[in-house]
Amino acid sequence: MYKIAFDLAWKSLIRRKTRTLMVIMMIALSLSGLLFLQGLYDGMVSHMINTAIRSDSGEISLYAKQYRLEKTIDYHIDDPISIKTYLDRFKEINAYAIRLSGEGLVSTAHKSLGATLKGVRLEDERRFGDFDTFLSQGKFDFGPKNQEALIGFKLAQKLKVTIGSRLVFTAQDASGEINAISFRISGIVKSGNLAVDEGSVFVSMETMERFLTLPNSATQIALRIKDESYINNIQSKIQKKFNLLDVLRWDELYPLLIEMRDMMDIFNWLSYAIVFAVAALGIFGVILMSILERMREFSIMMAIGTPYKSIRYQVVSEAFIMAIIGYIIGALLGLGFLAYTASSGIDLRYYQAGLESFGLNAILYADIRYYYFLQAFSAVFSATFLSILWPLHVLKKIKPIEIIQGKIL
Amino acid sequence: MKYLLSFIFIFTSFLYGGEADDIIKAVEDNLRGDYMYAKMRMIVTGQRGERAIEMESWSQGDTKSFIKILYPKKDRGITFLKLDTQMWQYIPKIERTIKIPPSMMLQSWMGSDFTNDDMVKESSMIKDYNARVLAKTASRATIELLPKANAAVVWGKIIVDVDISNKVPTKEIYYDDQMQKVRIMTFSNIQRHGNHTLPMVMELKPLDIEKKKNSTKVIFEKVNYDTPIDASYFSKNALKRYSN
Amino acid sequence: MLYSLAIKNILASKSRTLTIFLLSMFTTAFFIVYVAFVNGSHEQMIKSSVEIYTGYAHINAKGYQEESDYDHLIEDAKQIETFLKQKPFISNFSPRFETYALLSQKEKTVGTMLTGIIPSRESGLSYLKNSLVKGSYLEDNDTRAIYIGSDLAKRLSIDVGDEIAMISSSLDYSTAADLFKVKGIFKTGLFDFDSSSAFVNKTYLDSVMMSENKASYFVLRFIDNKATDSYAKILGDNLPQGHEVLSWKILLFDLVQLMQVDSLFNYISISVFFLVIFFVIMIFNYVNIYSRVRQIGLLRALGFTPKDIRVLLFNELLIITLVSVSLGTIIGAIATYYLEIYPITISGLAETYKEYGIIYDTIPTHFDTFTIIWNALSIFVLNISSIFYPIFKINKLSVTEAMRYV
Repeated sequence: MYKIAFDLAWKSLIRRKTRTLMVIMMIALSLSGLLFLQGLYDGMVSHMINTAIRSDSGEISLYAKQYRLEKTIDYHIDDPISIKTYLDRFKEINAYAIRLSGEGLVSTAHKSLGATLKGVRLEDERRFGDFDTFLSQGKFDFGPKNQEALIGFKLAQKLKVTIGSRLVFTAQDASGEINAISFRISGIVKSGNLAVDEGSVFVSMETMERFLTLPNSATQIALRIKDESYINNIQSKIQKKFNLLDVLRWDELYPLLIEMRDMMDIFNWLSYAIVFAVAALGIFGVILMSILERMREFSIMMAIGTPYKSIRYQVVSEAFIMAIIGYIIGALLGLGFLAYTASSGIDLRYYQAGLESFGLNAILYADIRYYYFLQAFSAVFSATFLSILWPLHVLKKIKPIEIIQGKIL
Repeated sequence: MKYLLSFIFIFTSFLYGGEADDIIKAVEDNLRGDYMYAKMRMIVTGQRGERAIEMESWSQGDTKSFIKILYPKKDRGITFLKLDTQMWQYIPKIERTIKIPPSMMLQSWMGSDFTNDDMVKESSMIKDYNARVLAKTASRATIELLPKANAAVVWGKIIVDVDISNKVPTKEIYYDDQMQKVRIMTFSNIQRHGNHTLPMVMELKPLDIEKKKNSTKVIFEKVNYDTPIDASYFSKNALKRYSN
Repeated sequence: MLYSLAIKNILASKSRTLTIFLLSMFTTAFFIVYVAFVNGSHEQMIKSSVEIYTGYAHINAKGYQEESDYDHLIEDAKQIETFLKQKPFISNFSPRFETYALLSQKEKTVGTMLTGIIPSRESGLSYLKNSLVKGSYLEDNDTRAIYIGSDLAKRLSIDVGDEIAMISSSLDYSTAADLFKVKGIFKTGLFDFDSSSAFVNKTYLDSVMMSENKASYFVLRFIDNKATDSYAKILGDNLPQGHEVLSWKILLFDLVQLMQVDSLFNYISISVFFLVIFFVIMIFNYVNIYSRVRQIGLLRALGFTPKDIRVLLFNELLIITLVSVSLGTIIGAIATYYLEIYPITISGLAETYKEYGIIYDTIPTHFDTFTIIWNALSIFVLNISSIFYPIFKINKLSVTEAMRYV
């Protein structure tokens, strides 16, 4: 019985090709547009989060208490090596980076600007967050004698320096003395992290320790934990062991990024809701119209014995066949857009200045997540379901005899 | 100002080619433990016209110096103390002493073309530069100074013209890292004070197009070497105590 | 006759008419409000960022933007004042003198930006007065009063009533120093601004800095800030030599670019939305016309030509659409206007944007007649054009096919 109904559904759809096509196109195109936007927005946000984690905080960072407020080297972590030994026990920690930073003045013969000097170990940074991929010019090393430096590109621009230029950094060391150090620039870094690009200079850890006269110290220890589920657990363990330190997750350090992510989610949800509310109208129109014009047809079918359920099944199938075909085409189109954007990206380099000043990349890459398609499916499904409720009600009210007799049309 | 003077002495050492190291050492020994008192006049010319500052300075070795402003009246009594690489300033009008933070270090000193950093960094010339004779005649020599690899100096190069007979420099040209000229210092009016020969007038001119009209001229009015200076001058108390 | 037949048809099948009518009306209204939302957010962002402190335009000496030092000041502020006073399109303006100074309290010394303002005039140009959180705002006859940002107060550990030393250089580069009393503390929410800005009455600061009749720049506000560009051009052409005019679009260039990128995305969103509306209208009109195919066949049998059919259906649709789109426009416009005055507020948004120097905590709408009319027109055109294809197809049927259409 249902097979016949299903066949009839197909045939009805094919009979009214234009109508069917219009509904399918409506669903497909709007779906692909929404998927595309969602992927793009998500891509932007996850890029920002990823950048912050890779270039700075990792999934968890350790600081001496008060350091984040005062930012002076008085508040540093003693003996990071022993902390590292403790951390090595955790298999879930994929990488760590120990950093020693000091704030001061960086100068050329013409100009000086405030900046932060960061003592790092490049190999660790590479393993930690592929820091070498941030290199935009020059080499990713501190030179043969570990005496060169990497500089954020915006800072380099403001100081009008380039590879090979010489800079002098002046700051107060651990004893309060004003100390100065010079270095040549070996590389320029473009991370998307404003703090790095506009105000940081990277030198070797050894150089920094000597400069600040703070051997075996750190201002930050950052950890990578690639599996999200372990983060909270490890955080509490470390905090318990080192209760004199601040142990913070990336979302505690960058609450804004979480907000941004939440905002994008709300926006996406709203878009889907609005678009599919309107799409439901389209489906509604077509289904209702197709029922109304086939009243006679259905009445005759019922008069010769077709169960009401079969007819209902036919109408429902018509709606869902269109919906599913629309969904498949839309999903494929959307996937196509997303796949292209995820690999080649959208080139917005025209707006580079503005984007970069807010820490966004000039080339936008989309995210693709499986739940996009689930979300899309439920949107199409719900819209279709809601749109056929009223038409089915109309169908139920059919009085076959009166229609055949011509009393109602 | 001790900075400028020790600078001069270092150059005299370079005149003796290969024996430069011995000479430098002799000069350093000579400088160490030295006392100097000077009264000088600094004329700063800028876009808004000319301004004259009169001051006295007391210094001991390379690391300690105390400066007091005498004129103009508005700034009279302002004192500076430099101990090693740190600098403090006392302002009588508000009766406060402040420590000059690193962010102020590259601001100009008293509006001149010298920076606080110039004032603070003294006699690190020997430590920071390698010298090479470029040209030499009987009476003049031109010497090139290139910073040593680790030297914390912003200059890419300094070229000095030296008057050999008087053992003083006549001109110093400062270059930035891209080997563009940034500023020129000229020396004149050479006089003898005891065992030392000293240019009494020094002029610093920045070469920036924007700063065309700017120059800073220092004229030594009185100089006294080797009279010991009381240690009290080189303590933070001195800032207020000797202010008037 | 066609016309009266059109009207009869409209009134005859009420449900059909009503469906099309409601559809057009709601899509129009909805579309208008949606576009207003999208454009509104930018308006708000810009307004906030510009009005907090920067202002809609600056007049400064040429070269001040690159080198903001004493060599690039406005040397004769009175001249600029006179010049600006004559311009009727400038609603407010005021000079500012900005300099770098050390503020010192006991052991702590912090370098900040110190600005001399004319308090009474400043209140019409920026949010400084509105951002007061403690103490009181400056007055035009204040002498040793200083108005500082909340985070700066925290850094120096000072409060209203405390005394603080200020050291800077005056215009002749002599040391400028004075003692100030904290009169008030402000909080704009922009951390960078609140942690490194301090304000003093310009008249008094001028006496300390020897900057009488000098200014770093003048900040302006126009009677119609949307026309800033054209006003800026007029000013630029007439300014005294050696000065330049910069609109907020240049001063806040990065913000402008970000808005443009955001706009791009918004247009894509609107396009998707419009696409759906397009299809829905097409579907409805198509289906409606087809549902009357028998009636049309009958009319053809009675002697109507295909052209007559077209005109008839067109008239029907025209009447319905005109009324419904107009109504929809009115509803949409009222909704937009209402929401512009009473916008929806979302609290979390504010913190996110403040980090980037943007104040944005509401979802506002932007009431722009031009945009609204343009939107309404597009829906109208959409409706009208959507019948051509079905009519074309129906007219291709022979009369008998049409009359017996199944």
